[in-house]
Amino acid sequence: MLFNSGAFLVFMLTVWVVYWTIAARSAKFQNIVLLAASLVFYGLSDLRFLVLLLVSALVNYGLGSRISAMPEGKGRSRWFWLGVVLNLGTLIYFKYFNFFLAGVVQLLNSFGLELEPGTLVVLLPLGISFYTFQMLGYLIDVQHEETGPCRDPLHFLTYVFYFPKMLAGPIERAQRFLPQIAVTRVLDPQLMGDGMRQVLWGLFAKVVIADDLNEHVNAVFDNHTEHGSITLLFGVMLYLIQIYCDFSGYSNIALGVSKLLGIRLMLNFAYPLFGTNISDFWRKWHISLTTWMIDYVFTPLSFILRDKGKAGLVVSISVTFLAVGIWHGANWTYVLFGVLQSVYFIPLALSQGINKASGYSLTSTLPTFGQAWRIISMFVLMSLTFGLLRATSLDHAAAIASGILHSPHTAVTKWIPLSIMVPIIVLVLVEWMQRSKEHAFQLDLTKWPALVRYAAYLVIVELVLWKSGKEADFIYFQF
Amino acid sequence: MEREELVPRIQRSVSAVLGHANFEMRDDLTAADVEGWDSLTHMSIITGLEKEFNVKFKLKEINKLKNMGSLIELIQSKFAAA
Repeated sequence: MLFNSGAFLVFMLTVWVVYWTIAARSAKFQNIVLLAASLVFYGLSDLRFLVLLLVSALVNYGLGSRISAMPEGKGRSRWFWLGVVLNLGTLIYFKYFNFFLAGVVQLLNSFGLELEPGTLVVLLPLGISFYTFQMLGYLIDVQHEETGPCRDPLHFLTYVFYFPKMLAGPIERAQRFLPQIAVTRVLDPQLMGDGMRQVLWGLFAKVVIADDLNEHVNAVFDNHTEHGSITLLFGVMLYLIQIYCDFSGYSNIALGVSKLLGIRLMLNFAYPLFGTNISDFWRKWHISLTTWMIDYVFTPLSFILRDKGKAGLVVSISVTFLAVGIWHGANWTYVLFGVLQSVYFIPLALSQGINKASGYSLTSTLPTFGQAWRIISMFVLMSLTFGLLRATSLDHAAAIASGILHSPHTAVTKWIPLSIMVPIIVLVLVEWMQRSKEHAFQLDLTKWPALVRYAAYLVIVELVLWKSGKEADFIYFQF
Repeated sequence: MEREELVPRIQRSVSAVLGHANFEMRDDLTAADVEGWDSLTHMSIITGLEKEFNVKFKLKEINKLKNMGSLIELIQSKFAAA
């Protein structure tokens, strides 16, 4: 069931009414409603794997209790590593099996064997990457005694399956989420209003911009030989805007829907298109993944290698970004994506540049010339790299890159209509003006007159209704 | 080592990594209160403190730090154990 569908609207209305009326008397009733709704939501999206993930979640619940009950030592570590192997093993089987199989066959064939590159048809459970990282984070935190184990299976299952975040994050931390559902939630009109504004902004980005850009971006990527350098360059830049609007749109809807249920999920985007350098960009893009990678990959690795000086830092950064790339899926394009990010990042890290703040005031009307230059350069660089997430293979990516660099044709062969361009400009302007706020549609926190604010809400509602009907998938579901 | 001696050295070391000293050395100061002190810069700060005080931390000790007070206590405990 998609957030941008009529079915979800009916589903959400039903859950909301039951949650704030019949179930409002206690935390337990509210959690039962959330869990039941979440199981229905996942079951409707992907019934095949509901039982598998339920069993897996209960195993993780048991492992957390077991790890915590054991004294520090080898026995405890064994349970912990069993959990890591089970979770990573499940992810690897579903997501990377054919990729590894093809790699092994290719390697053996290079030694003179003549093996057939057979594949196994493996269906991917929706949200498996997000689910696995949550479970791994939970077990690591329990193992390191950063958090106690969850003692209530209802709480744990609600945390795991909570429908606003189940399919594409944010990758929520147990220690942030569990305390919120341990108490009875009280209806807060202000939080509710903020949630609705956030949902509306998310729908605007997704339905009005991302979905309409899809056709244009596909036309450029799928028929790249027909286009010249300028069109291809604009094509990859528009893909970055598309994937940003799609995923930040999804995240805004998820956070907003969750606020309607009185639960705050972690921020996933903080205006990354205004990033002034690579470190600034990754601090603002898919924050729940990058902070996960920093906490559970970069920090322990750089800690272990801290005596190795700059070489230790280079290895830590490379491994972390490789993990970020591979997290997106089983394709060499994702591997190259990770490698390129570390190539951009390492010089900055070695010059201590990652410690510097973004460099622009959050309240100034305009950036300085230097800041604007850095923002635009960063946007172009990231566009060229994010194109790898859209390319179907390394050859495809290389052909597009070659077209951008060497194509003799500079004429623009694919124009985007004003009906897409104007909303993009509106999105960029509003996000720039609102970049100090949690989300761009917190117009109630501006000095705008009430009439202007309500007119803005109305225009966005109209635009969303006008453009809705496609019910296109969210890009990040594939990751 | 006395706390009075420790605190300014910690402040200098943290400032050297972050490039500013816009924070007050309170026990309840958290990383979130200090501009630029996030999970990415955290390890540079920890390495800087290890060099400054010639001590070695364990990852588990680092993971359990809650605020400046617990960081000061951790460094003091290293000298007490020596």
